[in-house]
Amino acid sequence: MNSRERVMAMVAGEPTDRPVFSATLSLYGAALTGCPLQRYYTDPNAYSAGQDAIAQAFASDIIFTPFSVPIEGEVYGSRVAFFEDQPPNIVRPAISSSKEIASLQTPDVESHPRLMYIRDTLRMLVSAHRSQRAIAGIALSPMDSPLMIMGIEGWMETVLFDPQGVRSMLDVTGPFFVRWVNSLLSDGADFIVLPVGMLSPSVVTRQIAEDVTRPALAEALAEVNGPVVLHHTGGSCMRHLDLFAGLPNVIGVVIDSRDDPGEAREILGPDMVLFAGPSGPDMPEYTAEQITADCAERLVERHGDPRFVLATTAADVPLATRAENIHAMRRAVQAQAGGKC
Amino acid sequence: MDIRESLVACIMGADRAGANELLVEWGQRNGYGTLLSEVLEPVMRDIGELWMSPEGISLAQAYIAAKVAEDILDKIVSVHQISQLKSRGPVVIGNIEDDFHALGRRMVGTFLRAEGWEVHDLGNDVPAVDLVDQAVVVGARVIGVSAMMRTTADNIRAVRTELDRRGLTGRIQLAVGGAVFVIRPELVQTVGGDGTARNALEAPALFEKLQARACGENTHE
Repeated sequence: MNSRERVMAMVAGEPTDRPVFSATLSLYGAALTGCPLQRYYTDPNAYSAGQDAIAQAFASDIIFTPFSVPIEGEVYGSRVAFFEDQPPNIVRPAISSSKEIASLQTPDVESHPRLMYIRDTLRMLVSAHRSQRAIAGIALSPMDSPLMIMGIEGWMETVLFDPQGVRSMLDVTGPFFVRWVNSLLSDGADFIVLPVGMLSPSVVTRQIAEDVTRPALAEALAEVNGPVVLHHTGGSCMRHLDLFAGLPNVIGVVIDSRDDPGEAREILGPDMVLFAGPSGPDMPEYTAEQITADCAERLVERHGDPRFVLATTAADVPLATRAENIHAMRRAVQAQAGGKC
Repeated sequence: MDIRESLVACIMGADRAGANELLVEWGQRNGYGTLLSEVLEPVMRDIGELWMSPEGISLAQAYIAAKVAEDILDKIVSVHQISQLKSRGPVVIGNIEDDFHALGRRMVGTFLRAEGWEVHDLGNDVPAVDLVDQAVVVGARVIGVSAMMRTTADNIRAVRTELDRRGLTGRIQLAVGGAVFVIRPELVQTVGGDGTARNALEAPALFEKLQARACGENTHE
C-alpha cells in the first residue's frame, strides 16, 4: 500500500496497513534543500524541490502546497515581508476598514503571478508525487482571508460592529474563494485544508461563529468541487467543534494538540477524518523520544478508529526542528503497524 | 444583576451597544463621578480573571472589553471629570520596527489610560531610537514595545541596545508584549525585556511594577 492508497482507504473508512501520518512540512522543505525563504516562497521549482526532499526523507503520506496564506492578502494589495526563518507575513494590510472594501480589485486566479506561483507549484507536486502520495492544497476561508486583506483589527471591528461591511467583504472574498479552491482542485489537489480561525473559540464568540462565520462557510463550501479539511488554526477548537461538522464537502478536521481526540470523535461522528497529534510549532522543543511516546499514546488511544490521522497540528514545523523529531512520528506509526512502513 | 455583572455579560456576549445602554442608565442615575472606581475597575478585574481562566476569552471579547473601557473613559472625559483619574505618569508604547499588528498595542493603551497612565502611543513600525527619544522627552520610566512575530520580536533588541548605549539601563524599563511572548516567554530575556504581561489587561500592573523598579533604581544612583 503506498501513501496515496493508504490515505484514500483511510478516508473511505477501509483498513490500512498502518495509520496515516501527516506532518505539516511545507516550510521544512527549505531546511532540507538550504533554499533561502524568499526564493522558496516565490519560485515553484524551489518549493517543489523542497517537497521532493521531504517525500524522500520522511515518507509523510500527505504533501502540502505552500503554507503561505498571506499570499491571499498580497493578491489584494497587502504588503508582505519575507524572513530568514519563517514563512512570509503581512506587514501592511491592503485596506484598514470596511469603508475601503469597494476599492478592492479581485485577483484573477488564472493570471495573478502570486496565485500562479501556488498553482505552478501544485502542478509540479502533482506531476512528481500524486501517483504515490496525497496532495493537499491550502487556502483561507472567505471569513479568514479578510484578516490578510484588512488586518486583525479592521476585520474584528467589521465583524463586531458592521454587518453590512461583513456582507460587502464576503461579496468579494466568497466568489474568489470558490474560484481559487476549485482551481486548486482542478490542478490536482486531492483535498483542501482550510484554516478557519474565525470559527475558533479563541477568536470569536459562539454567537459570531454560529450566526456569521458558519453560514458564510456553508454558502461558500457548497460551491466547492472537492473535499475540504477544516483546520483549527491555533488554540483549542473543542467548544465550537460541533460547528465544524455538517458543512458541505467537509470530510475532516484538524484539532489542537491539547484537544482530546476521543471527545472530538464523539462530537464529529464516525465519518469525519480526525487529524490530531503534536503541535507543529513546538516540535523543536521536544526530544525524539518524547515525540515517539506522545504519538504512540495517541495511536493506542485511537486504535480501531479507521479515520484517524496522526498529524502535526497548528502551524508549520519550524526550520529549527531536528530531523530526528520528524522521523520519530514515522517510527510511531511504523511501530503501531508492527514495523511495516 | 448589578451593573458590573451586567457589563461583564455584555462584554462576554460581544454586545458593546448593550454595554453602552447600561453605562448611560447608570450614569444618569448615579452620575459619572464614580464610574471609574465603581464600574470600570471591578469589571476589568472580572474580565481579567475570566481571561486567565482555563477556558479563557475570545479575541472578540477582549476587543469588546477594550472598546467598553474606551467608552467609559470617553463618558468620564465628556463630563470633565478627568481629574478623578489617578495620575500614574507618562509611558511610551509602540509596535517595534517592521511590526504592524496594532490590535494588542491599542488594547494595552486603552487599559493603561483606564488606570490613569498618560499614554504616548507612537503607533506601528516604530524605530528603537524614536521610542527612546520620546521616553526621554516626556519623562517616561517605562517603554512598552509590542511585536506579534518571532522575527519582529528580535527587532526589540535595538531598544535594549539604545537604552544601554545612552546609560538609561534600569532608569527606563522595557516592557515587551505580543502573541509571540505568550507562546515563548523565554524571548523576553532574549530581546532584553524587563518584563511582560500575558494579556492586555495585565499590562497596567506590569507597568506599575516596572515604574516602581525604575524609580527605585534611580534613587540608588
